[in-house]
Amino acid sequence: MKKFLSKVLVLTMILSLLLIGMNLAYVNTKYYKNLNDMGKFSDLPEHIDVVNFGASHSACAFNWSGYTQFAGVNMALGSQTLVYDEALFHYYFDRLDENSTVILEIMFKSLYEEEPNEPPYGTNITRYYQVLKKDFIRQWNLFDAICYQYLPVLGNRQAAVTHIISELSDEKAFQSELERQQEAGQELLGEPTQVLDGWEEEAMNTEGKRRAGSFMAQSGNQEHGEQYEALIRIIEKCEENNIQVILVTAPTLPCFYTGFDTEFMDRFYQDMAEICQKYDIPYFDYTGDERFLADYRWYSDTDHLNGYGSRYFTQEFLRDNQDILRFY
Amino acid sequence: MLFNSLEYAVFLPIVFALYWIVPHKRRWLVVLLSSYYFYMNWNAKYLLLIVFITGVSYVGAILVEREKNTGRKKLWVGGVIVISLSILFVFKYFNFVSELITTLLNIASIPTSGIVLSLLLPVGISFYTFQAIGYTLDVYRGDVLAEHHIGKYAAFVAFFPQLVAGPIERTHNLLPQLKEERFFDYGQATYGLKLMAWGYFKKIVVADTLAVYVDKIYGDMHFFSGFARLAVIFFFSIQIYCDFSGYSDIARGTAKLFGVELMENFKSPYFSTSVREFWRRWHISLSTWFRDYVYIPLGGNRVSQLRNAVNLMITFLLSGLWHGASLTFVAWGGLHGGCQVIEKQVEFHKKEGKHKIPYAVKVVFNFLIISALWVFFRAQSFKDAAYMLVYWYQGLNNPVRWIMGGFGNLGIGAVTAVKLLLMILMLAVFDYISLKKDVINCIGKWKLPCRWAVYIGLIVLVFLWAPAESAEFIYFDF
Repeated sequence: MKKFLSKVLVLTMILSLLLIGMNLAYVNTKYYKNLNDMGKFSDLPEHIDVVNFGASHSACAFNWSGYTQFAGVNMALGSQTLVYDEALFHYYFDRLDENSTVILEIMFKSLYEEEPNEPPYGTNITRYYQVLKKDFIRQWNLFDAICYQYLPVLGNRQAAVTHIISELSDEKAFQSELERQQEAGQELLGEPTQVLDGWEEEAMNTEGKRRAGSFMAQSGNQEHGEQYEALIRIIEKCEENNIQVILVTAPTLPCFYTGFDTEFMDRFYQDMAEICQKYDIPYFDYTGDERFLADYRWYSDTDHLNGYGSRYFTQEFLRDNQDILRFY
Repeated sequence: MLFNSLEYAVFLPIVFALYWIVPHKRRWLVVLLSSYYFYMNWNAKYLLLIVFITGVSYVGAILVEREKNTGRKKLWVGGVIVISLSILFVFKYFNFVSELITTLLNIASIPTSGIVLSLLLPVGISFYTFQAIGYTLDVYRGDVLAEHHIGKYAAFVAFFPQLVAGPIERTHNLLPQLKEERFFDYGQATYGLKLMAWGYFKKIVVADTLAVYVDKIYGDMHFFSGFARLAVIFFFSIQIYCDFSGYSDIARGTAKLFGVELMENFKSPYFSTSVREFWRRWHISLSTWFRDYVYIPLGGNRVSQLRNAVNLMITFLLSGLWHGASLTFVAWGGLHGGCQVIEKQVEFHKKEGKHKIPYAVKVVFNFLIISALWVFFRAQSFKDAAYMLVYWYQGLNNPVRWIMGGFGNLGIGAVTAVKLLLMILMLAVFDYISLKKDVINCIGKWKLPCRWAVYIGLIVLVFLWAPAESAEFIYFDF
């Protein structure tokens, strides 16, 4: 038994050293640093003037990069729920002060989604191990912490090795899918307006309806659950600390937003009206706004703005609300 | 709990330590509790099923042993089989039968809506049920004595390395090993670890990599080219072999750590020269179970040719049904039975010495047949199976474009193609050498730096080549 255990120990040590070495190399890759768009949290300013939270619609709608007169941060991530908006809000709360503005982008399903409660958790949860501390991750567990926080090479083995090797000769920073989406559309500047026709329109309509259907399915019976409560807690904490809160629904294409049932939309707008009335906060709904429907190429799909679209939207958002925005 | 999970990497060393620390008299308790914990990790409620089947077969076997009257003996053994199979029927076959009856009634213009039970299929139910039935039949035949220690018997039914996907162990092999005092054997334990490493390579690297392409095509076969479909027919043959034999290797390797020898479940099956030989090398624990408890009691081959053919067909139709509650599985079993009936006929009429076919040709031909039959096993419907088997030639008029386009269609670039080729080559070489030698023992005789390089290399390869998402073991669903 002694011989067996000592050999197993030696083998384990050799493998552990290899693993730790690979992990060290992996966490220093550009790929890992920007995995799942988490790179945006690495260089945050000490003082934040405006921050937008939300899911991919928000991540693709706001682009603060061209504005030097204030510090804007986009903390929205694909499929980010209000529970994690709240987690990030609390985690970076020290960087906000009385003159700051918090923009909460509310998509039609945001208030009603269910938070995953049973492992295995996908990247929508495990990505937060790269940024947040244990207490801020509701679904924290030791297994995921080992795989995504302490030894992230375990959570992404094949891609990890590929990127360790490929980045030895590649100087370019790694771009995530969302970043590529956000940068797309640059060539559209000055292009004539385009409209959809024929099969393209047909395909977009089908896809829009499918996505709307999936949003409705994820909203269940539109009951007020943990997402709704998280939103209320963010608003109340902002109120207590005199931080400005603005609710926004980002623009989408008609093929998407017309895919929702009337009843569903009525309930959503009723909920939004109640929140705004109760806390006396503004809500800007860009659904169906003519300005963002002029060219379908401002979108990367049926409901996400691309790089050009986001720059245009941010510019218009600031112009629309310059009288009320504290930082602008 | 999956063998390829971190939980198992923590669970196994703990159970290993406990097993060897605890005195022999109490080891059955370590085996039993760890096995129940292992199963509860998947679904705690369904542990009751194992406990129930264990209880029924335990009591039934004692009653069978005590009973002197043959008629009543048969009654007891029949009772155990009926109760065990009824549970299996409710969880696995009820919806299938209900759907079948509904379809038939609707065809006969009797409109009816079937009853559907929304029950989760308990992992490994077919394996532990068959093991318990096998034990009762062994006691009935007088091959083994009934086990009177309920704890040790329960440990035999639930022994965690083989609980959810076999091998379906025989009483005379496993039960005595769990009862006798085991002494730690360095050679056996290290062999076990090496076998586990090879099993992980087969499962995590080969099967899981191929699963990506197989799932893609079978999920939406109409959107892929002819070559892509043809390639995936062969990919699935390799995937299912590596998935299942990988599991068996890990199970056998784990058991060796506890000083227990489980039966070999696979012996290089794709190097068989006939379908009959294939079944002597594939899922041996199941095929011998059906041979001993179904085929031979039906009369086996000591009957007329026609009766023998019927016996074969019954055995393989049941084997198909064992694999899954669907007509495609039954057809798969039936086709395997049919092929063997034909082979027997060809053999019977064959004249000695004429037309000797080279071994390699026979192996390749047999592999083609087995691969084609796997389509029925994997496809969701007969329509899908037929589509896969018929429309692979599309675009064949331009062979280069057919092949290159097919790879592109599957998303296989040059690097991936080389990787796939290498892993399949490793597998083929290992299996070919295994026909004559024990590869693990052979490597064990190499000089220390060489063999350690192989062991570490294999583990690193498992780590590097493993796809991001690991698929569940296919045979968990049976």
